[in-house]
Formats: sequence, C-alpha cells, structure tokens
Amino acid sequence: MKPLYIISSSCISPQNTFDETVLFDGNEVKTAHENILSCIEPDYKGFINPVQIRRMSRALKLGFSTAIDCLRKSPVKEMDAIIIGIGKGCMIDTEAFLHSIRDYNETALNPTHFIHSTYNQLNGMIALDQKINSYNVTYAHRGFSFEHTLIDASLLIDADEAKHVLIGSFDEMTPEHFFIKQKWGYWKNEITDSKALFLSNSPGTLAGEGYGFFVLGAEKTCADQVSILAVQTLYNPSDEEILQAIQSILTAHQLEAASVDLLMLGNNGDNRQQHRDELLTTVLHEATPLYFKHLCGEYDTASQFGFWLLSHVLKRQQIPESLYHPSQRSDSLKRNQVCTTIQ
Amino acid sequence: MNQKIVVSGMGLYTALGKGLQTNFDSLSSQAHALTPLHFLDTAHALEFPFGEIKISTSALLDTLKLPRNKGYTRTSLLGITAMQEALANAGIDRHAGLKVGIINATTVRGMCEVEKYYFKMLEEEGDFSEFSDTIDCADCTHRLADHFKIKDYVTTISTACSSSANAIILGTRLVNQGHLDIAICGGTDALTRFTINGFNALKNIDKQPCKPFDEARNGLNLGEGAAYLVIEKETSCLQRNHKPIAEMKGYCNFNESFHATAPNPKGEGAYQVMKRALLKAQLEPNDIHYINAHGTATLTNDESEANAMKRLFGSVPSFSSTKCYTGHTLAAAGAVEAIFSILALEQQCVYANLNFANPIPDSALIPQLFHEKKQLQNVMSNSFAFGGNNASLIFSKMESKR
Amino acid sequence: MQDLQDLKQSLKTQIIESLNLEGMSPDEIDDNAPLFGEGLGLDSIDSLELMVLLERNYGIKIEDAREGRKAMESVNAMVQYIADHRTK
Repeated sequence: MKPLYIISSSCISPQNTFDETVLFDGNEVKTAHENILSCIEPDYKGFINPVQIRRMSRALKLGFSTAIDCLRKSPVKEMDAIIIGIGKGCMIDTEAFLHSIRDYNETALNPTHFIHSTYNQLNGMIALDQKINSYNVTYAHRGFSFEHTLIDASLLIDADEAKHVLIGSFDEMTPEHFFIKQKWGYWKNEITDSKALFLSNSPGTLAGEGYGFFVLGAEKTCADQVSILAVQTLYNPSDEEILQAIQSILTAHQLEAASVDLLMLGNNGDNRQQHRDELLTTVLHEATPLYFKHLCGEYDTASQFGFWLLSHVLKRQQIPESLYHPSQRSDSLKRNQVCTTIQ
Repeated sequence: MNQKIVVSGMGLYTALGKGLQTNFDSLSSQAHALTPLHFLDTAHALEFPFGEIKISTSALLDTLKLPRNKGYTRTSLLGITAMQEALANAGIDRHAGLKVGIINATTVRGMCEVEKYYFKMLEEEGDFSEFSDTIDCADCTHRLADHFKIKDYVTTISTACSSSANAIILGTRLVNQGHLDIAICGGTDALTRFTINGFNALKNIDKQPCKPFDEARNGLNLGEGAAYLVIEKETSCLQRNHKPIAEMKGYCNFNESFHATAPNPKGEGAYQVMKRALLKAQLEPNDIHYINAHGTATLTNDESEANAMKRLFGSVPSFSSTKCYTGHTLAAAGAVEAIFSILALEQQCVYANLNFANPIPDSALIPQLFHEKKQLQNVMSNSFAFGGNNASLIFSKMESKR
Repeated sequence: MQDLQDLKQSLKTQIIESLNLEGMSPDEIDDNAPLFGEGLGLDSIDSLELMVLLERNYGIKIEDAREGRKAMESVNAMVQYIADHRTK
C-alpha cells in the first residue's frame, strides 16, 4: 500500500484530548468513576447549530463535533470520502427505541430514536453539513471497525480514487449497556482506579468510550508528518499467524524486529487476556511497550484512541508518562519508525 | 476496472423461497410473497403485509443441523442458508490456496433475538449470555466466517438500505486491487419488531401490498432475507474451471447529502450515482437495457428515482422494482436485487412491476408491467438509503467465447 | 373561545418540548406562520414528531401523511384540527 499521511486529527475521550497539548504537557490523568471512563464533552455551540442540535443525542453530538474539529484543523477541505467505524452504533437511541416500543405498546412512537439507531447516521450528518458528496461508508465490525476505515482509505488512495479521506470511529457507553455487560463479566467486580488497572491482576476491565477523526492524505504536506505504512487485521489468529503477519509487514518495509521503537498494546488489565502481550513483547523485543486503555477504558473502537495517541507521540517525539506501565521507567524515543497497535 | 471482475456464484433466501430457482420462478410467474406475519410477535402482525420467510427460527436451526442455545440468531441463520447456496453455486466447496474473504452487511443485527430478551436482561436474574454479542452487526458476520471457515478477510458494512450493495462494491475493489482472490459479498436482515415499529414511526409502511412508481403509492412493505454473491477475477474463475455468471462491470457509492431520511425530490443523488456507475463501466445510458430500481414505493423515493432515471436516460429502459415481491429486505436488498438483475441477464428477461395503475404525474414513467423475454446486455441495480447513502451497480452478460 | 386560547398556549409548549426547540418561548411562535419550510423551519421528521404529539396528547391518529401536512400548516391550523378531532 501507499503511505497514508495524517493531515489532521481530533479526539474526544475521557481525557482532555480535545485540547491536544494536555496529555503531553501536564500529567493530569482523569480516572474512572465507578469503573466507567466517560468522555469530556466540549461546548457544542462552536460546532453544531441550534437547528441541528435539537434532535441529536449525545453520541451524535460528540461524533459530529470531533469530525468538524478535525476538518477545521485540516488545510485541505475537499474530502473524497467519509469512512466511519462503529462497534455498537448509537446505543442510547437503540435503547430508547426499545423502551418506547414497550412503553407505548408499539403505537405512536417517535421516529427520531429509530433514525439515529441506524449505523450510518453520523456519516450522513457530516456529509450533509459539509456538503461532501462522495464515497461514504460505515463499518460496523466490532473490535475492527476502526481498522477497516484505515484499510478502505488505503484502498481508495492506492487506486487513485481519493486524495483526501475523512475517517473516524466512535462508541458510546450507556448505563444500561454497562449494566448488561457487567452481568456477563466484562467489567471488574471491584472498583478500580485507572492508574492501578495494570496492577489489578483480576478478571474484567474498565468501561469506556471515545470519538476520533482523522484526515488522511495521499501526499506528504509537511516534513514531520506521521504516516501509516501498513495495516492488517487477522481474524481469530493463532500465535503462529500473528508472528507471520508481523514478520511480513516488517519484511515488506525492510525493517528488522529490533528497529521497532514502540509497541502500543491493547492490554485492558483483564488477567484472562495477557498472553498476546507476552507474544508481542517477545518478538518486538527492542520496542518500548506503551499502554492506553487505562485512559479510555474498553470499547469496540478503543484502538482508535491508541492510534491517535501514537500519532501524536511520533509527531512530538515525546511520550507522556501516563502511557508507560506503572512499573516501568520512561525512556526517550530514539528513532521514528513503524509502530504496531494490537487490540 | 483494471481486470475483468465476474460474479461466479450466487445464493439467496427471501420470502419468495429458498434458492435461485424458486425465487426466479416466483418472479417470472408474477407471484409476490407479501402476507400477514406468522412467526414474529408484534402488534402490527395483521396490520401490514410483510415479506416474511415462512419458517420458524428453530426449524431453520434444524434444517442447518445447528445446535440450540448457542446464540444463532435468525439473521445469522438466513445468512448461512443463503451463503451455502452461493458457495456451492460458485463451486468453491474447498478453497485451499485461495485468499477468500467475507464482506457482510446487516442493519438489524441480532435484534430479532435481543428484542425478545432485552428487558429480561435488564430486570431479571440470569445471564442471558447466549445473545450477549448479537446486539452488534459483526455477530452474524463472525457466525458466517466460522461456519464456512473463512478468515482471510472478514468485515461488516452497515449503511442502512444500501448496505449489501456497498458490500458488493467493497468486495469488487478488494479483488480488483489484488487483496483477495474471492470475495463473498452480500447481506442478511431478519424481520424484527424494532424495524417494523421504526418504519411505522416514519409513517411509510403501506397497509396494502406496495405500489412502486404508482401515483397512489403509499409506502413500503418490510421483508426479510439474505443474499450473497461470489466475486472474483475472470482469470481466477476460469482457472478453477468454473463458468462465470456475469461481469461486474461498474459501480458507484455516492452520498447525496440532502436530508437525514429523505432523498432530493429532483433525484440529484440518484442521478449522480447512476451516472458515475455508468462512467466506471465505460458505458453510455442507452447501453443499459434493464434497471432493477430501488423502488421502495415510498412517496419520496419513487418520485426522486423516477426523476433521476428520466433525466439520465431520456428514453428510460425497462425498469421495475421487485420490492413488491419480497418486501424491502433492508441490508439484504442490494444483494437480493443484484442477484435478480443477474438472473434477468442470464435468462434474458425483465420482471413485472406489480400493483401499478397510474404513473407519477411529473415524470410520467411507466415501469415494466409484464414479465417478458428481452435481449439484455447490461443491467443496473439501484440501492438508496437513509443518510443519503446511495449505490448503483452494473452487471453485464459474459461475452460468449468462440 | 377561551378554551381555544388555552389549547393554543399548551400546544405551543408541547411543540417546543416535543421538538426540543431549546431557548424558544411560546410567544415566539407566530400563530399563523407556516411551521414547515419557511417560518419555524421544521422538516418532515418534525412533522412525524408532531403527529406523535397529536396521538399521545389528543388521541388523534393521522394515517395519511398528506392530511398530516395540512393539519399542521400553522399553530392555528393545528388548534382547529385538534378541536375538531380530539378524542381525549
């Protein structure tokens, strides 16, 4: 694939990421409240007009604001595609419509929740607001929804069908969804502080949510631009297949395992799922392992948050203290090379 | 398209029945399948006609010899049934050595089961974990991938009513750009209380069998179904000693950005997507000999689509909507209708648009009124959706090799 | 007559609530101005929301979208329609 250059990005998360400097300059880390990390909402007024906002639920407001902010930061305004990934869709609208079906016995129901429960709502809203008449698609593929937006953008750029693509992903956590997943053992039973997530040694993780958008381009527009050289998803891979895939990516880019500096791990502190980390840190033995799920919590498209963080780490050549394992010491970033995120 | 991309297998399951032959027979005898609901529990069961597949979910499980209590939703089961036929039709029971991927589409996901248990999950003890992950779209895709042991590329698209048309487009691109040898593309959606009430809240379900392109049309009928197409390069298909069914000639995915649920009445979005699909196919408007229209029979869609066809084609070729046979199968509709279009090519015929009496005054277009034989070289299939997500596909007859 | 005035006042409040017209007061809605397009600038989804309002609050079920549009041309039209058709 041709490199994908990150022209601009925007991220709303449980941390102060809408202002990109905070995580890097300060050490302020927001922690989970009763095992949920909830997004910090911006002032929507700057992004959504009063006519639009009155029918938008929280997820759509957050997603829309992130996308508009990302487009505003981009010097290029003409997008040739909008590609969004969502794990669960707008849960609050889905839940509200299920409730209203029951509460009103299937009569006289408000259509708005139903409309917003469709996965491609945000795609349509952004296109409508920005008058982006173009290729437009929504991936709804659980943990890989974000990765598929990258792959699709890469397909378009490889085929010269697009020069600039807006990609993004989001998932929201609702009290009901948290409750249901609690029953199935997704979350930690004990109230856990975000900073202690990786020391907990117990089953379950913290719940989270997040919104992130990127303008990707086919061409480099500044010297220190971060680019994506390879992206690959593996479905239910064996260890052998994971190792093969890493090796083939490295080979394709004339890299050695030892030349990878950073490894962003999808570890979520669930002691039932630690095996992959050992595999990856063994093969990419020189890479400094970094962690992000204590900052955003677990949700289908959480890898997007890790990806956003990495892109800023590379751009600034600086690693916030908060990304290291609590037992690690910080290390300066030496080289600027390919990084692998694994969810 | 750099290389000739072909459809080498198809399979589907709709209210018209299971399989290509059954569906084609119903279409050619102009017999629709819209009836009151029998298997789904809803207050609207007798109020509207539906394209319901007349088999219970447990009978579907039995037919496929799949276990109960393992989280197979109706959406997944319809998908597995349709994909089984598509793979057999393409002659790829064994796909050793080939890179095979699934691009699946759904909008209702496992809601058909989740809506039965949702409040129990919230209010009662017990884990109900059988359906824990079926609330998302990926669940049925994973079921398909696992059932058919496909793992080279697995993804799910959800763009409402154009979902599976977009799955076909993605599969074509992945094959064309060399990422997959074989792409199995399509979609599946079961009827649910959730969608029935959703469309009813939008006040666009007709109490009568729907009347696409008729002046007195009064909304759509909902249906359920699953359909998959096997897409690969012609060279790969011939290498397997398999006869391609049709050429995937052109496509377009285009967002018209007009309104959250309504199309531009003038049909600008529909016009653009059809025009760009023609451009991709390197064809002129008069090369298209049949259009399987989106034709939902809602006030806005048909007005907009008719205006767009008139503007693009001038003298509009034979066109019909087949949603008056199957109901609107949502995420499956794009693939169901792509298959109907290809069957029309294969059988050299065009389908009747049922329940039509008078044209929409503005465009005055009259759809195909009878099933008849017709020489077809290129056919177009349209899928338009909420959010302005429009897609158009063009398939062509394989040139006969001397 | 007073009844219609009261009805108008409460209808305006219900419209503001149902359509989430934040920051708007009942007095700002012109009795005769069109609710859709020009005027308040509402769209087809709002018209569906208003039909839900009519059904839930006044027991009026409008089957035909075209009739709905007519009944909801303006606040005055709605008040008259409610007075003529209400079942609760």
